[in-house]
Formats: sequence, structure tokens, C-alpha cells
Amino acid sequence: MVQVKSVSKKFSKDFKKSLQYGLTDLTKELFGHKRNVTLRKTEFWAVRNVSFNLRKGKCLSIVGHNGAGKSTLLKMLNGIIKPDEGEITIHGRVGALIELGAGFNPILTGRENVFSYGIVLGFTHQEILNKYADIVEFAEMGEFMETPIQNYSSGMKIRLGFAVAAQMEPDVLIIDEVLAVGDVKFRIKCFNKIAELASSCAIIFVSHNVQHVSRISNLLIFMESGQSTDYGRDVDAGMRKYLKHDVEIKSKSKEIRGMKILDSRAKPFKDRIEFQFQMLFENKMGKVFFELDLFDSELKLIAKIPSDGETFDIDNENQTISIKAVSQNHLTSGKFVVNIWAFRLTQDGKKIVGNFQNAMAFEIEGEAVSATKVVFDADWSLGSFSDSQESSDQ
Amino acid sequence: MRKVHYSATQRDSIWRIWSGIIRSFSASHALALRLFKRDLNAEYRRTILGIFWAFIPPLLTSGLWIFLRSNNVISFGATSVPYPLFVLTGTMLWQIFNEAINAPLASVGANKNLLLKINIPREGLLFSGLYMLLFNLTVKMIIIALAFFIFGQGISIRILLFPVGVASIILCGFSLGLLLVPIGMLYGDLRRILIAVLPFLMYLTPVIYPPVKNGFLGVLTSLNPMAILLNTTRDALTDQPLTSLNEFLLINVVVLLLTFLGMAIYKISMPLIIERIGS
Repeated sequence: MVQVKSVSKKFSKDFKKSLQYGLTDLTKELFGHKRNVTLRKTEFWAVRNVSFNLRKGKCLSIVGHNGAGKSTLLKMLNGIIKPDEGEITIHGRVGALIELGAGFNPILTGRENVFSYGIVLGFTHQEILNKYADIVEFAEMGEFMETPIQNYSSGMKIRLGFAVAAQMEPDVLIIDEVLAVGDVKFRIKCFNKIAELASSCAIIFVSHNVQHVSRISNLLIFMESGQSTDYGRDVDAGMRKYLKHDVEIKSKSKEIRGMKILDSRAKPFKDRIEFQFQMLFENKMGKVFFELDLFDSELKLIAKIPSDGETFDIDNENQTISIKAVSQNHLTSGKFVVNIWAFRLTQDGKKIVGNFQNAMAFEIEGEAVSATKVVFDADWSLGSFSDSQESSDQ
Repeated sequence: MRKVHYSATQRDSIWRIWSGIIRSFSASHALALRLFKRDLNAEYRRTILGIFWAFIPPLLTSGLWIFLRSNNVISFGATSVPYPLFVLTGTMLWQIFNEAINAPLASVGANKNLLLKINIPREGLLFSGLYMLLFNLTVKMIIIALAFFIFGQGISIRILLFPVGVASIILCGFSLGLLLVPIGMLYGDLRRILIAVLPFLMYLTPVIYPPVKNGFLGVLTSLNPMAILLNTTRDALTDQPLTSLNEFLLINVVVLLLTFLGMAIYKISMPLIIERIGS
């Protein structure tokens, strides 16, 4: 359905030059001359030599860091700009979930905007009339449809935009980061809607969200400075490549209200992880204990390592203690950071005395099984339900 | 199944481009109509005088000249019809030309965001500007009709040429405006030049004074296509002898060719312009 053959696009870093080149290109185009395929001064390739094919029922994810050329590629696919080299052929109706609610007029009501946005997206007036009830229901905005949308929250505008766009029945669907907004409930709703569309069309999906990508896509392309690497069906390998380039997380120690981390390190082994830190207390604290929060490279909290009830006595001023915690290793591969929570045991219970952010960092090398961060071991066997009931009672 | 193809080396002939424009006409018309309604609603919802703005500026201009002339500050030869009628039709027609030349750049500029984000039938933006123009035109015509009624001015069979004249004025402005879009979208200078030059052109054209036959201005008037269009249209409306019908027809042929070319240039240039004006 979609064929992209060595497509390239260049942009100029300098604005004045860009306008000049625009004028020259325009003149050349009008007189039927060929486009300049070499880089002129201040130009760079935003997309270079990208090729892929996509069939119906497949979902291709394009991942890459900001400025890698993803959006430029999508714009070419959507026919908004022309490639400088190569060609794109698309069979069927193209639907784009790119800028939801583009062209909304703030002083018109939600209803009026649904109609203009619908026409902009290529519906006929009659189609919108027929689908209007569905749109309002999907957006969950029945009571606000006669309100000017300048009084809508930004989330509501996006919801309305998505509700209209979701009525498209495209053969090729282009999605660019639209799921990043809105509340969780609506995001899930959007995601389900896309999954529903997925069976009947080809999807090109751009997102920075690892979970979304690994859940929806069955093909993957990684882009970096305009160049693409096609990972085909090996979505996991592509995601690893993408995540490997993730921001370096430096572990840093901090001083909080008379407490100071003198040294800390986390060391992963095959079966366990050892966390060690040395902390200086300037004041007497009585009984203290610690908890660890474990984050992945996207700074998403993935695990908590609670205290096992053990407390440590800080009875002197300027006392230093060294703590070691050993936990099981359920992690796959990647970079991780650890926050240390310090608590004090008082008569009323526990009291937080400090949260040391990014106190430790470590990396687990190796091939991940998927984009997930956690794996559990299991003993697989034949068993009856009654067996498992008993064991959970133990 | 619909098939689209984008290629760097693709070159379409002007005929193919036009067949594309015609094929997608119903889609671009639907878009234009919706955008026109949207703009009209939005515009009149936030103004108190609403549609009156369609004729207030030319009415004020006319009032000023009527005042100046009646106080003998300026004097020029007798006009064919009562001066208030003469100056009112003149400024209304000039206003139509003014709106037409500005319309393409204005409507494309106002919908830049749509162009950048969504693949729409781009001629729709031009048409929506045109529809707005036609709407304002209707309001203006009502005012002229009222004025004619008040002054007891009669009309004759010549009135049949009047709609043709108005259409030519619109098309003349529109085709020129269309040719300005590609450069005007890239460089902001063009818009400013228009603002600066148009009043100047108005005074060179017999809008508020009767056509001059002699001297340098006479030569200029006989060469000025807008003067010919405007005079012929006004004469048709006010039942005067039509003196330059041949020139009028020639200008129309040129204007039609310009529109034909201008639309094609617009179609070819928009993807190139869009990549230069933002993301």
C-alpha cells in the first residue's frame, strides 16, 4: 500500500538562505528544470535515502530522537511537501492523525468546529451529520458542544480533534505523537481505537513511547540524523538501539538537611543486585531505615525495594554508616537509576527525612527479550487448579 | 482504489494540473464553503457592525470626496451622473478590485497552519477568499441600488454588461493577487508593497474623478487596464455610452489567461512554499 523509494529531503539551517533557495527552486520548478540534488551552502539532509514498503494490516513504527527526520518523512508521506529525491507511492485514502484540531477557530462552538475540521479532513457535510452523534459520544463532551472552544481546556480540544479524526476510514493511517496528550482514560480509548483501525489499514506510527511502539507495531525503522535503519520485524532490536542512545544518566550524590552521601554504588550480578552506600549524619537521628526506588532510563518508576524492617541507630553527631542491600535481579537490560529514601522511626510511625535522587546508577548489558524492563522466572509444568490454590495459601 | 504518487522528478503539464483542479473541484468547493462560513461567523460574532463593514470604508471615502467637492476644495469637470452616485459606484468598484487583489494572499496566509499540517485541496483556500468577496459584493450592490433609488437614476439594457464588468474587475484583481502568492508567502515585503501602492493606483485611476482625456494623465488613463474596466463597468451601470468595448474585451482575455496560468503556478509552488515557511 505504501512504497517509499530512496526518499531524501534537505533543509537549510539559515532562514534567509532558505527563502532564497525557495525562490530559486520555485523558478526552476516552474520552468521544468531539475531540482538541485547536491547540498548548497547551509543545507543539510533532514531525510536521506529512506526506503520501505508497507502492506495492509501492518503497523510500521518510526522511532528516533528529536530532529532525526521523522516528521519530515511523515510530511512527505502525507503529500504536504515534496521529496527532493526518490519517490513515494501510496494506494488508497490517507488519513493523518498529526495535528489534532488544526484550523479550530477559538470563538466558534465545538459543534461548528467539528464541521469545519471534518471538511478539512476530507469528509462531506453529510458524512459529518451522520457521524456527529458518534463524534460527540467519543469525545464525551455532549454538554459542551455549544460552547466556544476558547473555553475548552487543551485536553478537551485534543479530545474533540481526535474524535473527529477517528471517524476516518483510511487505507493508510499516519500517526505522529498524538497519544502523548490527554488523560490516561482518553489515551487508552484512543489507543484502542487505533488498534481497531489497524486491522483494516496500514499504519505508520511515530512515537517516543516505548510501550506504545512495542505494543502496536510489527515493523520498525530507526532514524538517526536523516538516515534510517530498517529493523523489519525485529521491533525489539530496533527499540534497543533507540534506547541505547538514551540520555546518559549520571549518578550524583547530594546533601540534604545534615545528611550526606559520601559514596554509593549499585552492582548488578546475574541473580542479584547489590546496592551500597555510605551516609554521613551530622545530627542525632535515633532509629533510621531506608528504601530504594528503581527507575529505568526513561525515568519511569519500575520497582520499589522496601526496608525489611531492619533499622540503624544514629546516636552520635557526625556518625557515618555504610549500608548494603542485596535484592534479586529481575531486570532485563538497560540503564537504571536509584533514589534513596531515608526515614526516621518516631513514636508516631515513620517520618521521611530525605530523598536522594539519582543517588546510584547502573547498567545491565546484554540482549533484552523485549522492551520491558522486568522479567520473572517461572517453573512451567502441567498442573491442576487445585494445586495452585493450595500453593497460594502457603 | 485511489493512488497517489510523489516524486522528485515528477513534472506535470499545465493541462494535467488543470484537470486535477477540475477533478478536485467539488472537494475544494466544499472546503471553501466551510471555511467561508467559519470566517464569516467568527468575523461577525466579534464585531458589532457586522456586515456593515463591507460598505463602510467606500461609503466614508465617497462622503469625503463629496464633501471636498461641494466645498470647492477640488474641482474637476462635470460627471455623467450626479457626483455622489459617480463617486459611490467608483469607490465601491475599486474596493472590489482592492479586495480581490488582496484575497489570495490573505486567505492563504490566514490558513497557513492548515497548509502546514494537513493535506487539503489547496485551491479551496483561494475559493473561500473569493466567496467572502462575493458575499461582500452582494452587500455593496444593495447599497448602490439604494443610492440609485434615492437619486432616481434609471438603468437600461446596458446593465446587462454590468455583471460582466464586475466579474472582470474581480478576476483582474484575483489573477494578479494569485501571481503574488508564491513570493508573498516567502517574503513579507509584498504585503507591505500592496498596502503602500494600492491607494496610489486608485488616484491614478478615474475612481473619484471623471476620466481625463488630455495630457499625461490622459495617456496614462488610456493605458491603465483598471481605468478601462472600471469606466466600462460604471458606464454600463449608470447608462452611459460604452466607448472602449474592444479594449475591455482584450483585457478580459489577458485576465483569463493570467488566471489560468496563476492557478497552475499556485498548484506547483505550494509544496515548495510550505517547506520554507515553517513546521
